[in-house]
Formats: sequence, C-alpha cells, structure tokens
Amino acid sequence: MTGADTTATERPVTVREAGQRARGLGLVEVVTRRELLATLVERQARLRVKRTLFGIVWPVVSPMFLLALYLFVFGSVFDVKIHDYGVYLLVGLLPWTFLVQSVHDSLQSISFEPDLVRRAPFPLHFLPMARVAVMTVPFLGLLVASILYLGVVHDRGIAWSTLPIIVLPGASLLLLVTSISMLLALLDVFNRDFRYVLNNLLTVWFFLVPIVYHRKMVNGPVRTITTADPMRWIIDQFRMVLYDGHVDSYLAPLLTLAACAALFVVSLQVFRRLAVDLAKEV
Amino acid sequence: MIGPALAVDDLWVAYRTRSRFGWRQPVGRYALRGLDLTLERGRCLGVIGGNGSGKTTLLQAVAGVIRPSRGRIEVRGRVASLVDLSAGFHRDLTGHENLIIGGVLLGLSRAEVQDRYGEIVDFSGLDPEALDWPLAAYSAGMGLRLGFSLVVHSAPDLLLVDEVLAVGDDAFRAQCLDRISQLQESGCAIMVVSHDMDLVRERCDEVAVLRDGELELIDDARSGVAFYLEAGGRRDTDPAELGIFTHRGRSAAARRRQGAQ
Repeated sequence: MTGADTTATERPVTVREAGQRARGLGLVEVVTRRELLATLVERQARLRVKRTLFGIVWPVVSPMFLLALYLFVFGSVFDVKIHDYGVYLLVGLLPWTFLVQSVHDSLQSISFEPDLVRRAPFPLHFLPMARVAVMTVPFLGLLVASILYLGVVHDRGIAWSTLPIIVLPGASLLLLVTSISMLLALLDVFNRDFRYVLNNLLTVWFFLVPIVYHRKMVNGPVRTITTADPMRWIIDQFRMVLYDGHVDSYLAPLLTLAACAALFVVSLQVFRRLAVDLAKEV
Repeated sequence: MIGPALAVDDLWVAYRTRSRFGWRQPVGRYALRGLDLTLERGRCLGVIGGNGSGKTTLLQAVAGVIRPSRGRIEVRGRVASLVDLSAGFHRDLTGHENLIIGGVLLGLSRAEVQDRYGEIVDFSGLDPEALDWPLAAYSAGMGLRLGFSLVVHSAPDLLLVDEVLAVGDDAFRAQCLDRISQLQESGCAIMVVSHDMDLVRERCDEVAVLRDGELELIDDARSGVAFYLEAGGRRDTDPAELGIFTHRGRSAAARRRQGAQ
C-alpha cells in the first residue's frame, strides 16, 4: 500500500486561516461524521467497562440506591403524603440520575483526553456527546425495566396507550443533558473550579426540582424558579405518562422539546465558537 | 498543474496566558512569527531549531489541531501526524481497539482500517497476540511501532513526524525510513522535526531552521544543517526574544525593532 496517488490530478484543499469560524449549525457534521462519533461512543463504552467488575451496572445501581434511601427518609421518616410514593419517586429519579451521571461523566471528557485532542482535528463536542450516549444505555435499560415492572408486576398498571408520548420528554431530556454536558466539558478546560462545586450545585438543583415532593407543596419564589426549570417540566411529563397514566395536553411536551432543541442548538454554537485551539489548553 | 502539498503564508501562532478564573489575558507569547514556506509533493522538509523555537507548534498548526493567530495554511490532501509517542492511543484499550479508533480519527473508514489491518500489524512487527493486550502492557517502542504503522498506512498526502523515531530500535527505524522513502516516491510530502542532524542531512531535501518562532533559513539539507551547527547546534530561545506581546498583533521584539527605526 502506498501513500498519495501520483496519478491524482488534484487533491482536496484544506485552508486554515486566522479568525476562521466553523460554518453552519454543526448539526450536519453529526450526520456526515457519524462513523467517528460512533467510534468515539464505542471507545467510551469499552473504557467504561475496563478495570471494573461491574462496569455498566453501576449507573443502574445508583438510582435504585437513591430510591431506597429517599423512600426511607421521605416516605417513612417524613411521611410525605403522596399516593404510591415509591412509584412517584422512581419516575422522578430516573431522568434525574441520568442527568447527574451524564454531567459528571462528561465534565472532564475533554480535559482528560489531551492525547486525543492533539492527535487530529475533529469536532471536540463529540467527546461529551459520546459520554452522554454511553450513559443513555443504562438509562434506557432502567426505563424499560421500570415500564415492564409497572405494567406487568405492579398493581398500579400502566396506560399503554399513552406510553408512546414518553418519546417527547425522553428527547427533551437527551437534548438538555447533552447541552449541559458540552458546556461544562468546555468550561472545565478553562477553569477547574467547577469540579469542586458541581456536586453542591446539583444537590441544590435536585431539591429545587419536585422529585421527592410534589410541586404544589412549594409556594412563593421557589415555585417561580421551578416553573422556569426545564428539568421540572421533563420530570412532570415522565410522571404524566408513567405515574398519572393520562396526558391532558400535548402542548407542554412539545413546547419543552422545542425549548430543549433551541438550547441544544445554542449550546452547540457556543461550544463551536469557544472550542478553538483547545489543543493549546489541555 | 498540481499545487504544493503545503503552503504556509505569514503564519503567526500566539499562546495567550489565562487568569486564575480562566479568562484570556491580553498578554502572551508568539510561538511562531510570520512563517512562510512551501512544500511540494514528494519532497521531504526537515525542521530544526533549539528548544522553544516553534517546531512542534508548526507541526500542530499544519496538522490542524491549533489555529493560526494570523496568516494562512493551505494543505492539499490528507494529513497524518505522529507528533507524540502516545499517538492518541489510550492505555486501557487493547492494541486492536486503539488501531480501529486511531484509524477512524485519522480519517479512514472502519472498513478501510479493517482492510489494512493485516498490513498494519505486519509492518509493526508486533506479535499478533500482543494486539489483544492493553496498551499499558506495551513498551514505548511497541506503542511507537503500532502508531507509526497506522499512520503510514493511512494513505497520507502530507506526513508529519516529530522526533518519535528516536525511540524505536535500529531495525525498526531503518524500516520506518524505508517506508518514508516509499511514501515520498509515491508523491507524499514529508515534514520531519528532529534533533538528529545525520538523519536530517541524509533524508531531507530541504531544511527549515527556526529560531524564536521565526524562520531563520530555508535551504538544502546540507547547507541548512551546517548553518545550524555553526552556532554550536544549540540555538535555544533567547529569553529577550520570547515574542512576548501585551497588545494584540505586536510582539515585544517587533516594538523594539520599530523603536530602533
């Protein structure tokens, strides 16, 4: 095998100039470079299971552990008056733990890969995206297991006719988590403070989102804050499908999806604008 | 008419300092200052200079992993670079896994990597069984063999090599140099950064001598190396000529020169 073909009349020319900016919205390259993205996802999945006995099982254990803990604290000790509190908690914790695990995993996805970043030019937002993609697998596994448990084993049952609607909050969640993961991964390259405060910020956010309590239990400014929080809407919509069993209106899920899609596009633009010369930084 | 494999026009690359909060400061240092060079297809350019002269920065800019602060780089065809020993491989992944992922990162499709897999492993000289070991179990030389083998099998039009050949044993080094010659004959342009003056003199058609980020000389290999060695072979960056700037676009050296005029 040889290198360049001497018979070739012309080769594609790549020009790199000062001040050159990435063109377009960056959505097309997710499709055109899907093989690279898929390879990075595979790489991340393989790394996830290296040097660990249970690898991919841990993201499944975490929400179950939290469920047991919060069920004891809020269900038994504080005796929160919510019907079928275990199911209520489970449905809220599923999307929340996916967010937390993905954000944690993605935070250092660029900072910890200096060799890869300096290896060849490629869309660096693929690194946090690959992390989120890998975390999506245990999330979906747990979601399917929960649906089967609620539909087949639990007395409560499930409204199968409304189940397809779960695709809407599911897509919103994926877009929201990917947006946050991209931005935090970029931020971590420039400033490492976030590594130390992320846990605290996520704990505050956790208690602002009505996961362990019902949103009608809070009033005043907290209620206003939670109204603007996309995670509150996403969790509400998961509950509409899996806990309430009926969907009053498609407007809220569609609006949430549109808002999360807009956030994703904006985050991608911010990332592409600022993620220039990261090879100098990592 | 086919254009050059590489055309660099007034290339400046600045490294800016950052505050503790991560904000960019209006203070930094030019690693490259106003470089102009052209590399034709099938030619080999040696890049020599002392530590901090900007050799690796030049390779990174040509490879496309860092952007010019000023100027323009035009590359014709596929670039493949081997600028560090790790070759972008991950220590926890096996040689096989690293080859597939590294190949896709170099711009090959998975099918192309699979097609060339046998050739890559044969060229590396590694026991096929070793491809199932994690890279952490490899010596530096074994990792280099795999990385180099992958890079030269990626059908590059421009190959960038940064000093890594020093790690391989004599037999593999000779094999790599033969391969580089073959690539060159097939039209691939080569850019080699090295402190090995014998290698540069024997293998390169031209030599670019860098000092403090500036192109001091570009000449045929013998003259270029002789020019470099005349200064004792050590032309480390003069602290007074670091190219420190406090305002965008003006280096301290440039302001001094302007002041002298």
